[in-house]
Amino acid sequence: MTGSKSYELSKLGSESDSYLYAFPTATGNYKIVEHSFVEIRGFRKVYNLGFGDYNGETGQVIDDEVFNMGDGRIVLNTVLATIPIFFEQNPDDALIVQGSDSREEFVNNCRLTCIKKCIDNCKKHHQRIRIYCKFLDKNFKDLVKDYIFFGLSESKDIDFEQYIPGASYKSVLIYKKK
Amino acid sequence: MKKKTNTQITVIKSSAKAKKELQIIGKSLKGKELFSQKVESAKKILSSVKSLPV
Repeated sequence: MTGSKSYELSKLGSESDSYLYAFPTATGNYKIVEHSFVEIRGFRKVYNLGFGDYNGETGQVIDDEVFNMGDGRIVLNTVLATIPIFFEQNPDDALIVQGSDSREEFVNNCRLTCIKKCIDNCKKHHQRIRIYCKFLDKNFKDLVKDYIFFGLSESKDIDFEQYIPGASYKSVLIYKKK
Repeated sequence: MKKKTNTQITVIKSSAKAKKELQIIGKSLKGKELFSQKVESAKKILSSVKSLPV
């Protein structure tokens, strides 16, 4: 990740069931990142990584439309920078990363307005997790020194399997190495 | 303003105005469920998998 840029993160709060971060972008938007508690599995608490745009007019956070103004790489670096912070605080827990465009209803909703007119497979379905995975694939050698990655296949819902760079996943599960 | 960290990532610093705004945003979001759909989706994923990897 030599030469990468990221925005400065601000921690907005931490409670027992969530860790909240935010950062401003160069264009004046505010991005929100939250690690939300999902459930306990075995001895691990499982959290979900959520990311979206803060809408100043409504006070809501929107995660189904993310607005990047040519700074997508910087935004991605900043979102991913919250992961080591999470594991510093929760070294025995797990984090799930998924894209909001991986939801089942996404394809039908996309077809209502999309100009791409995909016939079989929606090209935007799972697009965000693919961006995360691309980053992970690129930095895999460095990242596996500290973390263990598992992927849930796009095509089946059986179990998380050991992450293989280049494979397609709809969700990634992360542990910190002891 | 930019500063280099020891991992060679250049951090683009937030302005004082932005930091102030972030404090206001933080207060407004406190206690709200921000990503409920994603959390539900994560629950659905967990319910469909037999077990987490050891």
